[in-house]
Amino acid sequence: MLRALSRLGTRPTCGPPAPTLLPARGRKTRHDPVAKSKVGRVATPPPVDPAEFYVVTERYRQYRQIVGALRLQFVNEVRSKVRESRVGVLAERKAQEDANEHRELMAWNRAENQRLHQLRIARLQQEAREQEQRQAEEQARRAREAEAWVQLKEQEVLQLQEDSKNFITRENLEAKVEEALDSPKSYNWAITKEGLVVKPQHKGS
Amino acid sequence: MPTLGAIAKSMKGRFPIRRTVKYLSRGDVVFKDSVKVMTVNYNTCGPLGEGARKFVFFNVPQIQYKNPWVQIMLFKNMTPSPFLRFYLDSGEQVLVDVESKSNTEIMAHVRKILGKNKDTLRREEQEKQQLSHPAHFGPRKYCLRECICEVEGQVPCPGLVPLPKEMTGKYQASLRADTQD
Repeated sequence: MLRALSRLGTRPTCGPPAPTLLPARGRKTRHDPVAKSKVGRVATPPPVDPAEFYVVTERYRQYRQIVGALRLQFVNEVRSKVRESRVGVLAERKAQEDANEHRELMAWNRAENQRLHQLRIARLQQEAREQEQRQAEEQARRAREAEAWVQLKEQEVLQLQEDSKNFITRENLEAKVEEALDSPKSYNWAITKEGLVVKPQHKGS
Repeated sequence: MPTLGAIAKSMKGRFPIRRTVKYLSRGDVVFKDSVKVMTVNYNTCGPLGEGARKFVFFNVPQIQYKNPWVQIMLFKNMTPSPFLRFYLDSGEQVLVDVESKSNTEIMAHVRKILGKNKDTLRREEQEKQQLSHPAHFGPRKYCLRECICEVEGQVPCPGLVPLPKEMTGKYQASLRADTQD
């Protein structure tokens, strides 16, 4: 009777497929001949009580109708909730508020970037001024050093000019020799480690 | 509990604490759903980019851990000053200048403009908890228990401990058959 009921019962179109019983062949394959004792055997289905069959089918029909209706109602409820959360009034309002908040935050971010930009410009200007100042000081130092060098060289030239007055030349060679012979110098003196000049105290020759 | 030797072997490199789950889960920047890509341009030297370097070294792993579906790209020494750029799904690009900022300031800035606030996170956590009912039975992936036999104080699994004869269906069926006879 169950086999007859299963033929008439409705199956839900949606949902996962129910696992069906696979034919289990057991010992013989499909190509083996039928046993001699089973030749002429006709498989008869079990007898069906019409009254019971009618009652059971009616009950199954009602059960499936109620369960299907409940399932449909729950599915519709979930779908409406999802639709409401996606395109409902509350969702639209929330999206509006989010967009406003996003605009405000982007404006704040732009202001922050602008502030950092101003700071960066000020820092770069300060660095440029310091660089110019350093270059000016360097140039002044170089100019002072060049001037000092020139003055040193001038002093050396003047000193050389002064010394050249006492140089011995061919013209005044004879006069210088006579002068040196006329003014003898004594080199008989010593100097201590402290720098004191020690001259001998001549008592005799 | 891993041994001290195992811990010492795995904790290698500079600041290996960055690779611990505890450190990564302490990150509190969860981006909004519209943020898809984050690029960080920074320089390897210079006093003004120190905050950006620390941000990349210490905080980017935390951000990536909390936002696994956001692509993060790092560019070194391409621009004179460091910055962050976010690409949203609407095509909008958000530029964040991070020169002369510390890594904590950068994190606070990013959290303010593009992160979910605490209320949103709490609401999402509650919705996620509502989806999973602790009283449901089912596969281990979705539920806490698969069968009532796992609960302490209930009848143990008949697959492990055979049921007493009085509770088996075949004994009760045989009793019913005997009474009918």
